Amino acid sequence: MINLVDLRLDLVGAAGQVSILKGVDLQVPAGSAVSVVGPSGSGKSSLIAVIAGIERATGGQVVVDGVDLATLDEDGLSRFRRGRLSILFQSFHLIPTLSALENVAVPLELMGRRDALTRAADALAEVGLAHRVDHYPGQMSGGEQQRTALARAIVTEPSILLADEPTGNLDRANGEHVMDLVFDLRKKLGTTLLLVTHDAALAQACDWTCRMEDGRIVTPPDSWSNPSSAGQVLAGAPA
Amino acid sequence: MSASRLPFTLSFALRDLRGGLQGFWLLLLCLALGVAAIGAVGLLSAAVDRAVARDARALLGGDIVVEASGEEITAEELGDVLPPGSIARSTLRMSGLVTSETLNEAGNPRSLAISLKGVEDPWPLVGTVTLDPPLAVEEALADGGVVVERGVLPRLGVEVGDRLNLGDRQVTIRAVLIDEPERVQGIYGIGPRVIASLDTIRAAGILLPGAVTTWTRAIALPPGADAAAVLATIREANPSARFRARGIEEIQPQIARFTDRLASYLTIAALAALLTGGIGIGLAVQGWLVQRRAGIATLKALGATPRQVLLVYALQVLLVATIAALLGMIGAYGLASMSAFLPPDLIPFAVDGVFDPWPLLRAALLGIATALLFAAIPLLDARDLPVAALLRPAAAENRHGDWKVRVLVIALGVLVVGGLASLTTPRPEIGAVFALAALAAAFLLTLLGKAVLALVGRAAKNGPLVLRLSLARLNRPGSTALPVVVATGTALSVLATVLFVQQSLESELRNALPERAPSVVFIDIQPNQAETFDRVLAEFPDASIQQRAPVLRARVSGIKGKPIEEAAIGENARWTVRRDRGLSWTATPPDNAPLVAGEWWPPDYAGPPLVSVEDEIAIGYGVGVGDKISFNVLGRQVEATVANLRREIDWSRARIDFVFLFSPGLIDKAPHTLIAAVRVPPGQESALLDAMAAALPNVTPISITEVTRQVGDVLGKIGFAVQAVASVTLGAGLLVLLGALAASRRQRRHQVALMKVLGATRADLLRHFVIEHAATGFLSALVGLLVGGIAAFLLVGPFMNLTFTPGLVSAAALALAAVVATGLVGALSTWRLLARPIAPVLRGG
Repeated sequence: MINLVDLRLDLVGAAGQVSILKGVDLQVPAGSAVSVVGPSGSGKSSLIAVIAGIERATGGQVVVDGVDLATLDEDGLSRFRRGRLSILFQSFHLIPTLSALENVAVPLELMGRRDALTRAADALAEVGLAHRVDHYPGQMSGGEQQRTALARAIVTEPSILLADEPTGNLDRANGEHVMDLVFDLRKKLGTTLLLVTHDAALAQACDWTCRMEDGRIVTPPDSWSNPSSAGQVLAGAPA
Repeated sequence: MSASRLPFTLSFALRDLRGGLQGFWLLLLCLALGVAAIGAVGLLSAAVDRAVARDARALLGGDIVVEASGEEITAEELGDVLPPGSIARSTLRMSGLVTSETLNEAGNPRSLAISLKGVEDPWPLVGTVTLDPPLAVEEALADGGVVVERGVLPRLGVEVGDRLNLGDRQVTIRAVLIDEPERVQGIYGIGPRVIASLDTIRAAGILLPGAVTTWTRAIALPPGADAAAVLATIREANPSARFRARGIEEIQPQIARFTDRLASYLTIAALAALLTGGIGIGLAVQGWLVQRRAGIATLKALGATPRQVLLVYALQVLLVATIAALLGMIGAYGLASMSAFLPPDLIPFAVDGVFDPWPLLRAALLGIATALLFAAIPLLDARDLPVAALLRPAAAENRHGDWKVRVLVIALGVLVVGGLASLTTPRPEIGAVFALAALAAAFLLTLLGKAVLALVGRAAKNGPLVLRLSLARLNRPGSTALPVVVATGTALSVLATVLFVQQSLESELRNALPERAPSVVFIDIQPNQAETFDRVLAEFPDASIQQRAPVLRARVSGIKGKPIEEAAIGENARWTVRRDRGLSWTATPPDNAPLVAGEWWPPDYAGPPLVSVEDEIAIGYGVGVGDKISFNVLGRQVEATVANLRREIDWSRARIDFVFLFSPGLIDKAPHTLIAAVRVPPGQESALLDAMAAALPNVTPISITEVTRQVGDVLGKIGFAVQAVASVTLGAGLLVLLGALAASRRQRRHQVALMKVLGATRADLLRHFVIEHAATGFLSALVGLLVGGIAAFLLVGPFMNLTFTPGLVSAAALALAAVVATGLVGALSTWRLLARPIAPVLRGG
């Protein structure tokens, strides 16, 4: 369950202070899949960053899986993410000095799991990369790197998976392959999925879609793929 | 390259540098440090050479000095060869003994072995003597007055104005000797210096027949006289003289032998710093060019040839290296100028100005050549970068180009840098040996570095995350661990070499030598004093005589019928003809040196003189059994036939040994003394010396403990100087470490952010980085100590003939210091990264 109340995010850049998120209210029930669409610069990725505890909200409340993120310090946030929340980035963000197997094993090892490597190998096999376990990120194609990142994201069987334009750097075929895997695994594990994407077809594949513009959620009713559940998902959205 | 292209490459190189030289900070620092160290040593060495040239007359004590053992050189002996207006005065040097009225614990007067010098008024002929209080020398030495080195006072419990016993008479301490000329007349005894007038010494009754004395006659020529011509006349007029004549032209090379050698060792230590910094230079250029890959690929896409690309970036390196060399030259001048603040006994010459353009230019040239050598591979990588890197950055990762060209360029660079390094070293042969050794060490360090990193990487691969993230990274693509291990390993190997050699020497002096050497050697025992000597010794039941032998001073004057000046003598044997040597005689062969040729003479042999010669010296002389060697024994020519050759003397055993052993007969009629080696427990040594001084005031004890202390002092000073310069290498190693950290900063920042996203806490990350860097330090220490140990072992064993005894505790301390320092640097450099927010890093890709 993700619960955002009047979420605000201001960042200070070279050009001065910029408001990125301007009061976002959102509730995502456990086990649901929600896509976030919107133009570039609308705050989609920042929304993911705040939910993951990567950015700290300037105002409002962020409660993820029952935990108010404002109450956690940086180490607390790291521990919170362990095994509970995973992120799939557009640019993969694999550790270049570790092999595919080691990259996937890292979150398990941080959790202290003794079977980390075995489970990592299983996860890689699940995404079709059993033959690439010893390869370094630099030795793999973009699609393979993203599948490795996906294996790393799901290997801990997290309750929440945040995906930030996971197919943005992939060609159509690879993108579809990765997303098929994401949806299959989500279904199998019952993970809550929050997906940021520009791809309308991908957005439609989720239970619900919400649209962001200029740091706010604007969700026209016709965008709901499952309107009956809309009330459960969104609170405070413009009617 | 056409002439019209050159302006483009130059202007592009300059345009590309407009952003500033920040990217080159590592190159600037590494190169400036190395050039500063080499330049400073060169400047000091040149300044000392100039000071020696300037003070040569004062260092010698006159324009010409003649020297002989045993008896004073009279004016008649020289002949009527000195131009009118010349002044000649005698000086005597010998070991002596003084006692004070202050009593020791046993109730005997305190005694002290001294280096005694007797002078004749006016003294000195050239240069000045500084006394405290500032008396005139003639006033201080009149009426039984003496001046003493300050060290005499506390050891005898006396002050200026107190009286001492010298032989049969009492003398008065008039002043403390602060400085005297004639430094190169040689060490004339063991113990602090005491100067008295010749009259005082004669009156003391210590100039007994056979006493070990060195007499010089210093000659100051009138202005305008041709010293070289007078020297030649003296030699011509006295073809078989018992004395040796020297002029100032011969003094400079004699001093240069020592100063050049020391300067060469210091230059080598500084070269090591430059070469270590070279690794940093390579890293800096590589980092700079990696940042410019897109630009280079674009340049090529626009039509630039590989050669133009090479020229653009080589020009940049050359320009920055020149700036660094200039900074290094300024630093060298600053460092050398600071020599004025060093203790005077470290540089015993008054150095005026240190500025000299040549050592600075040599250092700068070597620095620039080193920079180009270490930049060669990254520059060739830039030249061979495929344009496809513009589209696929991964295309740049694979090395392109012809490996033969690279090997050729590197070989040429090594040759140039090695040649320049040899020429920069005052003794080029030492520099050349160093260049070869450095090349071998570089290969060894790189091989060892790769091996240990691969081993650790492999071992950590299946270990827990904390080890894999910290250790396995060391051997992964893009890791800077190898250059860091090689650079800090080089620095540590230099330090370890100096440390291990010093420790082996100290162990030899402090432990091994005292175990087998006598405690005290008594010289100048008159044959009729042997009984008294034995009686005094008998009062100390724990003391025993190890050896006793007759000895007299003589000079080798001819070999196989040729005068010594005309004889071809090997370098290893030259020292035996430079001055008088002690020789002895015995009826029976010594037990410690078996014969390698010829036969020992019968015990009752009474024929013409036969001589037994140490075989190495015989080889140097080119003589064998049956050949003849002439000796000047107290002015009389004695020709002896070589009867046998003995195995080389092991001088490290500190026994009384003689290169020349005569058959008894003719030789033992000459005035001689006895020499005795005595072993006595350390606690009784002082009492024995005092008792012997009371009974036989003319007999001089030479305490081996004192000798080893003095040798240890000299070695300590040399070691200090070499270590000071060697520590610059450590600075260079640290710079490389910092450079590597800076180069991997982006990668580490990314990793920190990612690991946090995946759930790692700051403590987890700090632990990873500390382990990684501490492991780098440990591996550097391992490699450095191993290579340093091998180098020291080779130096101590085959070259010095000593036992290799490295101090394991200090080696462990060095390793620990490396681990702590690198771990700390790693932790500090990571600390700031840990506080960085994650989002901007991940946004940046």
